[in-house]
Amino acid sequence: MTFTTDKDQDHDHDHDHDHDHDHDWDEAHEGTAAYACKCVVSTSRSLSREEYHSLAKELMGAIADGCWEQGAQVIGHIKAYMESGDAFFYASTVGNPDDMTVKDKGGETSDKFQLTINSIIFGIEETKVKLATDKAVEAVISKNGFSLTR
Amino acid sequence: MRLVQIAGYLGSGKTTFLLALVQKLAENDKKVAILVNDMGEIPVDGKVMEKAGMKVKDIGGGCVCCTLSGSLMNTLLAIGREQNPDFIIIEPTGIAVPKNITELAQRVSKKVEISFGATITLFDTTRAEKLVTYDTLKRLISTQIKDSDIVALSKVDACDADAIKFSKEEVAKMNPNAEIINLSTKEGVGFEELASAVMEIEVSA
Ligand SMILES: Nc1nc2c(ncn2[C@@H]2O[C@H](COP(=O)(O)OP(=O)(O)OP(=O)(O)O)[C@@H](O)[C@H]2O)c(=O)[nH]1
Ligand SMILES: [Mg+2]
Repeated sequence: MTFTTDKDQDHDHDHDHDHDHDHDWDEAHEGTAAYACKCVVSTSRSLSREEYHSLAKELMGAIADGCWEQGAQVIGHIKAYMESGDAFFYASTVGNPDDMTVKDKGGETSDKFQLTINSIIFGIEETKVKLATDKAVEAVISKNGFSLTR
Repeated sequence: MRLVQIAGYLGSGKTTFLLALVQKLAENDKKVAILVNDMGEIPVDGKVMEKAGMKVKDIGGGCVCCTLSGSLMNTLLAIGREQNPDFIIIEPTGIAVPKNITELAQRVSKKVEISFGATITLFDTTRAEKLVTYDTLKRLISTQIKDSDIVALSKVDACDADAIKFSKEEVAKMNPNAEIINLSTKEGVGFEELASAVMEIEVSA
């Protein structure tokens, strides 16, 4: 999803409000692009909590690097969650490799996980955010010997 | 119900603060409804809050301050009529304009009782310089800060004193009237003060 300053996107006017339509948001949303994806990763065995934490950090770092390479000016927020069996992992970065977050809600993991990612970036278009995100995910998954189904 | 906005740029720490805040409000026997609006087609914040045991109304796929303004109004109306909580806490997207949300809520307040609590905007001290480097981005940040009663300089545990000083100066230029508080939800800095402000402050709409 890319927010533009498309005037046609105006909200409908069949209501009774009286505010002046200065539309601060037209400009407010300029330059920000978001891309979201969901996929399933087969790990062929059950990974430990530590392995999930390190995989999550590797993924966040690789997507951020990919976005910088595409010309990102600010990493708005890259966030993801992984669900495997009863376990839940959440990962997030705003582009600082020293301050990445991974949190979890414990549980048994299975031999696969569902990965959901949201990359929101300032300074590049959505196609580039998508390219950077997809490429990074594929690279990290295959580097770890896992396989990915979209 | 009293409406409180936790606003601020993408990744500034809104959800992290909100999770702690909601817990605090619950400890004080307050009935709270939470409304989150995530950027991007697949919502992540709502899921994270649910996993933390919270019941959340999740609006996704756009921004409640503009393209999803209708959804926001309908949701506020439904929450007011069906749950009538003490507090309705809204986390808008990181690119939302808080004033637009207040205006939309004011329209809803003609149909259901809503009072207005503090609009709190988080400013990420770890990215302070970047946030004011690019013109369009700086205008957004400035708009968000101008619309707020309190600005929380977030993540002060992860930056140095210079970055905090710089952040404070930039924020004060954007909104000389706002109260500015240092916040680290991670280490508890400023948290009690902000939580008290949420419970105590009521502004005239
Ligand atoms: N060091 C530090 N990091 C924090 C703090 N609060 C939040 N973060 C981190 O900052 C990142 C973004 O936090 P969120 O709470 O998800 O931010 P947000 O504003 O809700 O993000 P969006 O909803 O995507 O705009 C996460 O990696 C958090 O762990 C804090 O007090 N200190
Ligand atoms: Mg959030």
